[in-house]
Amino acid sequence: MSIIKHISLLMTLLLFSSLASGQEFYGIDIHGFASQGYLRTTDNNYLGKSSKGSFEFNEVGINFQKDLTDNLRVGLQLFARDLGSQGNNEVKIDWALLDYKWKPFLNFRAGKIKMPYGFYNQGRDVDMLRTSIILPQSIYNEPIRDVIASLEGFSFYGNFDFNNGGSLEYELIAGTISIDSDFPFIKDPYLEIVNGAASGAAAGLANVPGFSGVETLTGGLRFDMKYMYVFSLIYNTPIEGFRLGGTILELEGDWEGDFSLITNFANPADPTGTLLISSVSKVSFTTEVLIRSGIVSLEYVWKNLTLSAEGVVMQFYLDNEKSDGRNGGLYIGGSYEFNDKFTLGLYYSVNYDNLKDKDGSDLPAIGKKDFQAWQNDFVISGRYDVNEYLVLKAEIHIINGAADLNSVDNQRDPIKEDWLLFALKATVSF
Amino acid sequence: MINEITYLCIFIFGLSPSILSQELILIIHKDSRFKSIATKDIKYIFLGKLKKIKDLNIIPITLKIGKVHDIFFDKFIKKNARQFSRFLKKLLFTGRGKPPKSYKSK
Repeated sequence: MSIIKHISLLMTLLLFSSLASGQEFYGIDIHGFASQGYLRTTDNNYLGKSSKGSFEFNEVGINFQKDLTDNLRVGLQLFARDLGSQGNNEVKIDWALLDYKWKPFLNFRAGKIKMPYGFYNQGRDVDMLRTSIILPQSIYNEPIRDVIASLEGFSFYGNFDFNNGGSLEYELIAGTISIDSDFPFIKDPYLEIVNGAASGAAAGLANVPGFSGVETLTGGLRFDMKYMYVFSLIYNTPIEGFRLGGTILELEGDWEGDFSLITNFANPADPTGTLLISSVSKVSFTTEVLIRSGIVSLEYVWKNLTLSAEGVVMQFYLDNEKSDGRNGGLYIGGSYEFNDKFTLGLYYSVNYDNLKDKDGSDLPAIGKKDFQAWQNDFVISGRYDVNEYLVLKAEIHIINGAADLNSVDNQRDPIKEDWLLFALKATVSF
Repeated sequence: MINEITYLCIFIFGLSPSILSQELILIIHKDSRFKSIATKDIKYIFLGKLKKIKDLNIIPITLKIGKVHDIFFDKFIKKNARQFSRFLKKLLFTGRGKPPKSYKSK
């Protein structure tokens, strides 16, 4: 991001600070937030070009809400973010909905709705809601962030109270969402297919006289989501501050792509070797993708102490065939508010690309390091609330493993197993 | 009607720190038809989960800061001031609701 954009963001932060109490025009409530962060890793590029330090780490949002009647509310939030190759400060509608409250046990929303996925997904764009800068990646994995952020569709939700037996909150949401073709979740596997096809072709032709190499030309790529639904349950136990949750998600879509393989042979008529005979073959594929995921969540808040733990399992099906092994992970963490200003947080998160191959013993056979099978992340976070509107944070990640590293960002240097990530962030809201 | 729908602001404004040191007293407007209200209903109202009681719309209103504000939320909502502020911001920025109107003074 250019220096001008950073200055613009700084101006926005200052503007938000001056409006810090929020505004109301003609009965429309207007609120917003903006944050700017910095990422630096000792090795490996993570969430952008972090090994040299990256300022491509910001979020800006502004929302407008109005009660049309006692039971009916409408609202919209515009949101832009930048995180390495993701977002690039393109303004999008984060959520836009109408919300009809009928009874405590049955209410209705329609539009683009933030998705429940574990306890903290709905608020992940809003930095000031949590102690850590980066949420535990075992559950809130950045490569799938835009897939699980919001959904265009309908939602039913409500709350059942059991008097002294606690209460049960539920939400059922169904719909679909458009996913950009440059989104890592679909682009990375596509590039792996392209590179794999090139390597395979090169290996097959290696002994053919005159063969001089294979080139690739990437073509179109898109993910057409057919549907997604999410069902979330939260049980607020009779123990004050202790809640249990469960989320299940299913999505199905068609993943379509094409690319060209260019195989080159030496031209016998050209002794200099500069002229080649090339053969171009276009490869197209369509794969039906089905993803099922389940999360279990726990949270206990006691005075200034918050403890939480969550675990996830995700299963992929490609063309109705169950993929070998499940992706999964968990984290456990806590935070303590020492006073009105300072909060300290810790968490440990671990995730595996394939729960059947946790030690990565199958990976060297496909040209990967064994430590790309897992990612252990021990995190210490400090949060300082300057006032109600301005929050400053710093955090260090002690990481072992490389399961979440983006192959595109890590082509130049060999990836390392043990590395550190430092993060800073400032957020204002009004 | 105005008296009835605004009685919840009186809950908070009617609290006095000196009283709070001994016991918590909630005051309902004398013209309200309510004689009592469940503690959990107060919690649900301020958490945005309850909009009506006995077919009457409820509009919660809070003080912005101060000891009365803090004690009320600690006693009834079971959250300290910062936790409640974060809860409201979550409502606000995730499209799940609008926080109660708040005022700087009584």
